[in-house]
Amino acid sequence: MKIGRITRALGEIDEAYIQEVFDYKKSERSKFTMSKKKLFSIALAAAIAMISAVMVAADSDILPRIESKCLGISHFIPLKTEHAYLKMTPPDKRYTKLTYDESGHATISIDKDKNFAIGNALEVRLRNNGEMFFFEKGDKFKVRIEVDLNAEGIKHPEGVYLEFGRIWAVDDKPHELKRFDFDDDVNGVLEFTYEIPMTNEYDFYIMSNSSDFVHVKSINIDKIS
Amino acid sequence: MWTLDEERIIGLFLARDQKALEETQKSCGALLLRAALRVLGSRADADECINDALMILWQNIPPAVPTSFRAYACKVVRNVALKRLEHDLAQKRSINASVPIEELEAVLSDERAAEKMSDAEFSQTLDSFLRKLSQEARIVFLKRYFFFDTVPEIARDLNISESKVNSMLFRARKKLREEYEKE
Repeated sequence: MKIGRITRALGEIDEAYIQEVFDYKKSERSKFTMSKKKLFSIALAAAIAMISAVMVAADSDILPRIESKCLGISHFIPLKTEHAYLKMTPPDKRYTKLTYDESGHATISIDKDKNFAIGNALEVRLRNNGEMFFFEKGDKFKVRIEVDLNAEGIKHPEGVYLEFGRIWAVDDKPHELKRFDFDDDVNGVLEFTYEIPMTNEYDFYIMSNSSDFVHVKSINIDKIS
Repeated sequence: MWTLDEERIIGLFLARDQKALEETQKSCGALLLRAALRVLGSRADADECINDALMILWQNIPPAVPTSFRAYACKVVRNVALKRLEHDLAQKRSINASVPIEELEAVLSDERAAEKMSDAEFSQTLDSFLRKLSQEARIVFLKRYFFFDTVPEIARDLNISESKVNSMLFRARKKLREEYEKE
């Protein structure tokens, strides 16, 4: 085995870096853990959950909005920077940041020709100071997705389905998508429990069948354990 | 900024009072022993390494006056231990160090590119990488690749899961590779 260049170079780094390791006291570590636990004890996992999507015809004068409510806002601990945003692909591949006010309400307005329903995929990304959250193996989420099966644009309401899964931080890809069909559900409401199979960092991923645009009325993702 | 203890010890070094070495042992002996054992795996080798490191500290201070004595002493011990490890081919007895060393050196997949860099450029790139990491990520990185702590030890020390430690190390090595490939 050879002692390589990086290993040697680490031996010459500024002592301040090494001192930082000594100074990183246990009290700070447990404070970090405590704030994470506090964060999860509230409905922060559902912070971007409730979305009312408005589908607007191309010639409509109404400016479409996405509204999101942070559930459990009374216990909400404000994060320092962005903490939640939506990414819709396609047609809009950009991230749209949701910023919550003290009442727990966030609204964004987007150009009227954009389609806010889930055309293909919706990625739900939670961040704390720019960092992803770690979910522990066994963490459970109660997921509720409400769609409008009678909305314009759905050609085959009996064939509408959604897939729900998680995006793994390591490869940035969705994994273990579970399919949920709306065939037998006249109300267009899906409710299920989702359990994290492996401790790691994840975002959530929701996709509809690609042949139809699904008009999403609301999405709730609540951490329950 | 020195603690009172460090200030006193550095004072002894500067006054060329040999009590400096005894006081260094008392003050940070356990830390230095752990640093040496991590690399060498053998108590006898580690003790010898610390003796050599104390000699180097005595020769270097003055003119060097470290801003953090403990950190400086750790660096000296680590470097002496690594030289000893390489010289004696003692990797069979230093299981702790060989795995992190191999993990880290695998970052330089194109060694020829790295060889073209001067020592100063190489160190600057490493420094730039460390500065860009979050505090927690930097601490995990240094605990693993400077101090050669095991993943379970890091997880326990920082009160985080082993998976998180592994993830953070994976991402850090990826970022380090990107920094060197940029150069």
